[in-house]
Amino acid sequence: MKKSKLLTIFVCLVFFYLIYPLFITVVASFNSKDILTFPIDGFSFKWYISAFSSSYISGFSISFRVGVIATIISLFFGIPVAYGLAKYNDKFTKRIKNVFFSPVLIPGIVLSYSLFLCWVFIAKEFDMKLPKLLVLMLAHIIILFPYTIRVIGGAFDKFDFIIEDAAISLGASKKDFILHILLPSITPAIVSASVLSFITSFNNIPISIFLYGRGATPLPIIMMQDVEKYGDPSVAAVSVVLLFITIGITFLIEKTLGLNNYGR
Amino acid sequence: MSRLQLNDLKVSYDGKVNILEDYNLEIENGTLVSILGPSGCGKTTTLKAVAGFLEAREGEILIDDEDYSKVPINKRNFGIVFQSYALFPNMTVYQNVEYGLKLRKVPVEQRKKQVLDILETVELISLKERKPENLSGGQRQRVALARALVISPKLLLLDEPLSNLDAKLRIEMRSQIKKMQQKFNITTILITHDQEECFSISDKVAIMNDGKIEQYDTPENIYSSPNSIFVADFVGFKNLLDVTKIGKGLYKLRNGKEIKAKDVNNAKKIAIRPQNIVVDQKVESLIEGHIKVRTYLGDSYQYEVDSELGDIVVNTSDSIVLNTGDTIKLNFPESEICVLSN
Repeated sequence: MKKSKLLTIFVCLVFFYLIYPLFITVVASFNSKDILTFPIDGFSFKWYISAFSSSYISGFSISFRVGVIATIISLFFGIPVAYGLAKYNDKFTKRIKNVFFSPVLIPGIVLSYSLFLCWVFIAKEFDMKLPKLLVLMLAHIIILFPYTIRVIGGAFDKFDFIIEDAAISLGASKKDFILHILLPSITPAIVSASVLSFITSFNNIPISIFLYGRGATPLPIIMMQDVEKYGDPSVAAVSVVLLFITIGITFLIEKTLGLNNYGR
Repeated sequence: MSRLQLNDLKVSYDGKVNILEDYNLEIENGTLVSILGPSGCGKTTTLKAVAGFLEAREGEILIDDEDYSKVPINKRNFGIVFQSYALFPNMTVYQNVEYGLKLRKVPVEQRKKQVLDILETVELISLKERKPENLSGGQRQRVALARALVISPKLLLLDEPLSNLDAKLRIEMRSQIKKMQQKFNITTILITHDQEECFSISDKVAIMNDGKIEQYDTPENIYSSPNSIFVADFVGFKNLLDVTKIGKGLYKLRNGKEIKAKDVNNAKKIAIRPQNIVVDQKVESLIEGHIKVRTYLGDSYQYEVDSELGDIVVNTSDSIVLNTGDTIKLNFPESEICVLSN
């Protein structure tokens, strides 16, 4: 089929629009001067050395831990919820579903502020200052639930629940069924949900903005503050490192599991 | 291998309305019994109760005189083939069939032999490494059958197993089911709404209506002498006419004509199949009418006749083809008439 010229131009334009800002960041990160300019004045790797400075490393470690733990906990509770919602698909569960998806609809910053108020309230009334890291994790779990339930629920919607009867008739217990059939059948969805959840948590600023504190400042917040304070290209270098980590993870999953087959 | 008895079974979904009430059925060792009926008649409920997915409120489910009504589903050792086949999507054909034996902790070597044997019987050996999503409907059906049979079940329950297959495959599969059932000599219940499907392979058929068994007999007996108006209608006696009994084996139709047939007490209706009505334009007829609709069936024509006794359906392979609006004269041969009292 002959390709339409106009369509090709459109695709190129959109592609350029998507990639161009990243391109600028990558170039800017190699600047030898300590200001952000484009094009750059000279070539240097020095910002990459500061990208691995202790403040960024600790921010990365906080973000990584929060992301991993929040993902695991949201899966642990999200899978049974998604199963229940798919299996008992009546009026009541339809209403419940809206509640579970509501954090997606509520602006992150509103949720963040609300949780901050809760923290203040608990600190005042019970004289108990909850550790900021814990609060941060709880907040991230809240925003991850809808993603987990939606992705896992998508897999369960295609699952024929008669299969449970079939397994039990063959002699399986409920536990056998869950471990041997149910979970293996939705492994692709679990992987998709994990990746999506982790990335969502790792990138999130709105939900963290009122809740971070000493020893609990995620990487995106540190980056934001540094841009305000210093404005040197080190944040550009950190961005490039993150970009390549993400590309690496996506590539690995694509190679081992084939994200395209499972994202659907 | 085992004899099944359902004694005074009461089953309900909500604990209030009984779908089955005082339900009795006895199935002899090694026979294939079909439960046939329109949708909503309770046939699937019967299967669920026997399988254990629904608990009977009262009554007994006896297998060789042992009550199974309180035995958990996973301890019953019944083979079930579901309408949607319900194969395990994460397992290969081989693993699907193997699963029941694995749970029973059958030693690896013996397990392997049993699985391969049964896959051979259902002609699936070459597909044993495939996942269910890569199988055709007929192949899935055979996996489901093999999976149910490999555990040497006490009872084989088939829930509309052929309804998702096309016409040609259905005929093949039903003979395969019969073959397997005989090979393993296994007591089997087949749930279906398809009369041809169940008559062709069943030793006995239970016709259900509204939670009750209307008739339980061999297919031949049901086909030739239904015992109720419902069964007659269900097995193809499309023409049902009101009669009054006026003597021994003698009945009067509503148009005043008399007709001879088998003597039945309290006779209310006579029934006859469309293909058994004789069309003869020359002799005196029992019923006369006008043709409303003519349809071509390939080997015969079907006429819908508007008569003085209401609509009558006639099939005839007569060489003379009648047209819409023509007068048609109908006679009922005595031997083809079925007399019904309820």
